[in-house]
Amino acid sequence: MKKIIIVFLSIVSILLISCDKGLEPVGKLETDAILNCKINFINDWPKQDSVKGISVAAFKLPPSESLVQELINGNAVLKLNSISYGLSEKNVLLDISDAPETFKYIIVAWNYEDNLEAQRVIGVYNLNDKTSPGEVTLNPGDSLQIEIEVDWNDFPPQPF
Amino acid sequence: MISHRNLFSILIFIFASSIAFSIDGKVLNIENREPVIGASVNIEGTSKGDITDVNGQFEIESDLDSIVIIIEYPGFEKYSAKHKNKIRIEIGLSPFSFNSRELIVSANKKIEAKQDVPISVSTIAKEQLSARNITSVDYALQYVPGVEVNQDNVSIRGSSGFSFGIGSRAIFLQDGFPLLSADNNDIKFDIIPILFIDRVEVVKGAGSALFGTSALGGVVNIITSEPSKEATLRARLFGGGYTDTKYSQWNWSNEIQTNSGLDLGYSQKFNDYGISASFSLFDRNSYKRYDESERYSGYLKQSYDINDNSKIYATLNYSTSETDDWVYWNSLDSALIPPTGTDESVRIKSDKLAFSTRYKNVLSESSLIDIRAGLFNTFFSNKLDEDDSEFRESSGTSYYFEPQYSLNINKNNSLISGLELRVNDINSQTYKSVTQNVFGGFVQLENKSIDNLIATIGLRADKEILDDIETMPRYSPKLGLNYKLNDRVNIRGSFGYGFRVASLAERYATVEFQGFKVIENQYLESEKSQSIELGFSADLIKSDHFLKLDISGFNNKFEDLIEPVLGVGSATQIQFQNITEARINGAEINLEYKFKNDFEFITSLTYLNPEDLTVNKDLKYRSNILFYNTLIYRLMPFQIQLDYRYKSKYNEVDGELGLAIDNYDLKIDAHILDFSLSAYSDFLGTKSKFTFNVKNALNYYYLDMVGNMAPIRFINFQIETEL
Repeated sequence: MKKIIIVFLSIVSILLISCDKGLEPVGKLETDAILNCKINFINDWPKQDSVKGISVAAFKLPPSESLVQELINGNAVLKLNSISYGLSEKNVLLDISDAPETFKYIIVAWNYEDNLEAQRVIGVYNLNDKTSPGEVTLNPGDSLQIEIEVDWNDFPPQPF
Repeated sequence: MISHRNLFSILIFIFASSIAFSIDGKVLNIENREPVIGASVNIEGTSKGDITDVNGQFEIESDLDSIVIIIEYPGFEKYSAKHKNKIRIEIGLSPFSFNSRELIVSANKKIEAKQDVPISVSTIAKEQLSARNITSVDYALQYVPGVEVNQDNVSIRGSSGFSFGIGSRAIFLQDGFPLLSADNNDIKFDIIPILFIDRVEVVKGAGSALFGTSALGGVVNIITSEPSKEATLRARLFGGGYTDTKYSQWNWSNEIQTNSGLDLGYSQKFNDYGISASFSLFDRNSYKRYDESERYSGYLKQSYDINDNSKIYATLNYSTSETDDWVYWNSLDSALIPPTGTDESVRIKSDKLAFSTRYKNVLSESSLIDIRAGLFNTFFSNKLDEDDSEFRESSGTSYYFEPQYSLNINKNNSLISGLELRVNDINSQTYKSVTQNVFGGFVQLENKSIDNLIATIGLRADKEILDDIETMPRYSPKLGLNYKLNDRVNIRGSFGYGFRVASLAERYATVEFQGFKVIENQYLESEKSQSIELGFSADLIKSDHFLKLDISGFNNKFEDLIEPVLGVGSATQIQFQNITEARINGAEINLEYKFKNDFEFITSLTYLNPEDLTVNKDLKYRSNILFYNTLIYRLMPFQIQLDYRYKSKYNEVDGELGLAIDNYDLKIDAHILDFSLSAYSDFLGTKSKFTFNVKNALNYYYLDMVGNMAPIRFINFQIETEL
């Protein structure tokens, strides 16, 4: 019997010694910031079959090419398809993991076809009017709320 | 004539009588002359029998001139002898030196020895629930050879990956009554009364020929204990806490996160009426932030012996819980907290109620009927406003009715047949208000014409009926062979079909949660499977040493597996689709060694080759190797137990999860070592047991699922007592 115990413990010991240490963190503790976007919708929504998704994105620089490409390039923080059809109001939280960071173009985008590239800007964060996008800066640990209005009858200028 | 003269003895009191032929007997342990309680006493070739009472006594009657009495009890040699005339006998059963002919019911819907079935079956004894501080059955299943539990998905030999908790590919039963929810067809583990589990049986391989839908990969049957002959009060109190992680940045609280719980149970049989009742509460402060849970559950089982031939049961299970809505981590660097911005005030309220009845009637010496009927109601809600995009709520009831008829046609042939109706009726904003009916009928013939060979052949037909969708009937055949080479060696082979109708949640879900949106696909077809298994088992005894070896090879094919597909229409949109054709072949070796009653070593190695034939890759969320080990050492009144489990890392996961989950593609082997030390005591005149238990003693960090760290080291203390 002792032999069996020794064999068992030996096998387990070998396995445990040979195994890695398990998961471990690879970076420092994240000190994220939160950008809380309160979206207000006015006027009637378009037909439901044309609303494939409503997303919120914060761009570090105003996009110069397709929104999706800018996202892939790392120019933005995104909450994809974060708003359901027909709502009049919704809070969307963007997690800013690399604060401090400044965002110069914060928008609500409408995906109007079954193609992720088919996006239209329908709301922009601004201080005064829709033609001059507002800018926000977030430091680690910040939590900032902004409001964006989406008027289904009056879209802001498209970025390109 | 006595067939095992070296294993038992018969001692004698015979009182002749000229009236009806009956036997009034007493069964004793030949070694200590203690009564053997609960042994099954049967007349060979009939359905007549009795169970020995608290004094080891039984009584059976027959009109026949002579009968062969068979007495079986786990841990003892089988008794078989011919008797004539009215007699009163005292029978001494000899304990097996090491092995027991363990009895099971789940392989063929009848009581039979585990060695005689044609398919692999594993069991979990109630003692193991205690030693491992099991608070929910899913945790117990993680120790079963060839089984993985992926966040409520029970995967038997790789049958299931990870499906957001929807659509179980193993049927989950309590005493043969299915407990799968009407909407998600998922398992609600917390409704099972841990105090009154007698054993858990796990049948591996497609089992739809007897159990119908959901038995795609196997069967999990919880067998509850019968009411005690004498009044029994049981209590279990436990509490413990998680230790800090090795990495300070993962420690999100300065307080110790604790789990605690209490189970109280009472059981007694009053003449013909028996009752078992329990109440449990469980409070979990998880090692993860926003993963707390509180649960209350109750259980009531009543039995009534209508007469010598018929018995009725009524069982009620209830559980209510509130849990946080943890889905996945923030990132590997913040592994134990949810994504930043998660609304941590959202809680999931969940209620479950099951009511089942069973009527068993021995119609004659060769036939019986067994009728089960009942319902299982579930409700959940995340209690958000109805116009919130992440609002989720559903309530549903699954109704079940199954009459079963068993007939011993003659000495060598027996038949089991039955009908089944399952109705899933849901009322849900998250899914839809819809009713799903599944009708089925089955027949199975068992033949023992050839010496030492038990052959079973069966067929089942099922048809799903939905309001506006046409479905095809499903036919599920099975064939099983078990050949006894000698008293210690059996070989077996089985072939069977399995299927699972799509759950209503998979068909109709329209739900949003934490960045994902699920859209409906009402035209899903049933999943199908085919299992082939060849196996060999041997019991080897030498002096005080006992070795049990079981080897099996298996090949399981799956068609139309329903998987959540991300990126349908938009990147984070999910739709359940019939996409996967798969094959899982592999082998399993189980070895059990015992030395006297002092030492046990149980090891199992399962190799799986899970191939996704659709994309020529490994199936997602499946391990290739499962290596489970248990070592038990008893030096009464103490017992030490070590459990070591190794699970190889998954080779494939959903790449699209990277859109939402940081570090989604981490893959890592799992090494889990659990330790327990128990002490038995007659503390204050009670039968008590004190257990110190450490789970994940190495504090090894591995993954439960993508974005989910498995439980870290947990230290627990438990007191159990019985009056």
